[in-house]
Amino acid sequence: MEAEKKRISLDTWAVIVALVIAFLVVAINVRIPW
Amino acid sequence: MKEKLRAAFGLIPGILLLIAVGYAGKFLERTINAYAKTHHLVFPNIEYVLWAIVIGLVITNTVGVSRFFASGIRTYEFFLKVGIVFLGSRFLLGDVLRLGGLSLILVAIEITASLLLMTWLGRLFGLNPKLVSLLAVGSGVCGVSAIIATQGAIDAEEEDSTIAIAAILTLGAVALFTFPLIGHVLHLSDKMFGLWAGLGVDNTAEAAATGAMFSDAAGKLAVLVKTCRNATIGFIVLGYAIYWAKQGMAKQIENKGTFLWKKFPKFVLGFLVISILASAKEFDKAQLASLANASRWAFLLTFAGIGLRTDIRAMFKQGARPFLVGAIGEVGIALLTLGLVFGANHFFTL
Repeated sequence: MEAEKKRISLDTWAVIVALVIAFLVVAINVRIPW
Repeated sequence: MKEKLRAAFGLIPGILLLIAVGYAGKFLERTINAYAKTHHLVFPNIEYVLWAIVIGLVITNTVGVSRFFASGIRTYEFFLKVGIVFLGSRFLLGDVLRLGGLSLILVAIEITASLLLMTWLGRLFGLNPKLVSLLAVGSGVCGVSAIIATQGAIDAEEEDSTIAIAAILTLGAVALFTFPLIGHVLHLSDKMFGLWAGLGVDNTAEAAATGAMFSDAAGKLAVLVKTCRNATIGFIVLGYAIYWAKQGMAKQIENKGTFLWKKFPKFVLGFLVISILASAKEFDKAQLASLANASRWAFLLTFAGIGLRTDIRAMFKQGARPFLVGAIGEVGIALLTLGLVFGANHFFTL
């Protein structure tokens, strides 16, 4: 139960990863082409 | 630790396959369009979204996909959520509030009608009542994740959720190809189609893909509307959990606030954060373009995953009755939501 509580959900990971990338785009001008 | 590292490395082949299939879809779109242009040919413009899904479908249903790729392919759900968070950069907060407010009203009507229709159909076809709850939540709220959340909360059998998920995914795959065709036949605008896809297609990945197959603008709106639908998941699951606990067939919910927070899709918050930052002009033009592109890449991997995950043979193996209930219900919901879209367009001018 304790271990289950500590697990970070997929949703939360998605938010963390997206915010980190957004930070890189703003802070060090990482450009993402399409 | 070693186990975790092994699991993380195990994701790599599947993720590489998602990238390869997604990029092949993008490459095909560009190459065919360039060929048609240089040779002055008139080809219908087939979007990378459709190519990525079709390539994935062909691979899975012909040569098949080895288990070696399975865990990595499942990460498409993760990329879908990353894509939604980045999509916040393409909406100003005012639009989110205006369209989100309108969507929530329509979502409330859609969910109520879906739950009632599915429950009635399930009883009519004599399905197990917990399976009916799962089908109702899957079609009313948000497909697979809603079914999984409800299964745990109402202590439903694993087999019931497998059946409900199969029915919802099959119908999602059908919607993926039929909705855009109907949308073009009815000459729906991008906004009307986006609203319809977000309201009428159950699984979030399929809703995003259905919208994007119609147009980029429709895809964007479909995701926003679907996100509003997803945001209601906690309340619906809580309602079902309380109902089944009262019947003495599921455990009581001790703390409703904690339950709601646990079930709330956190990517909705990420989407709002990015949208607030974009509205506050924290990003310049180039940065906004990069964030929008990041969203497109994440969705590209999602669309590849949809194709690679869809096993047509497995779809035929599911029971006929749950599928029939799902199919009849989905047609009813598609018509109802289409009516809602026309009504919203008339009264609110989308």
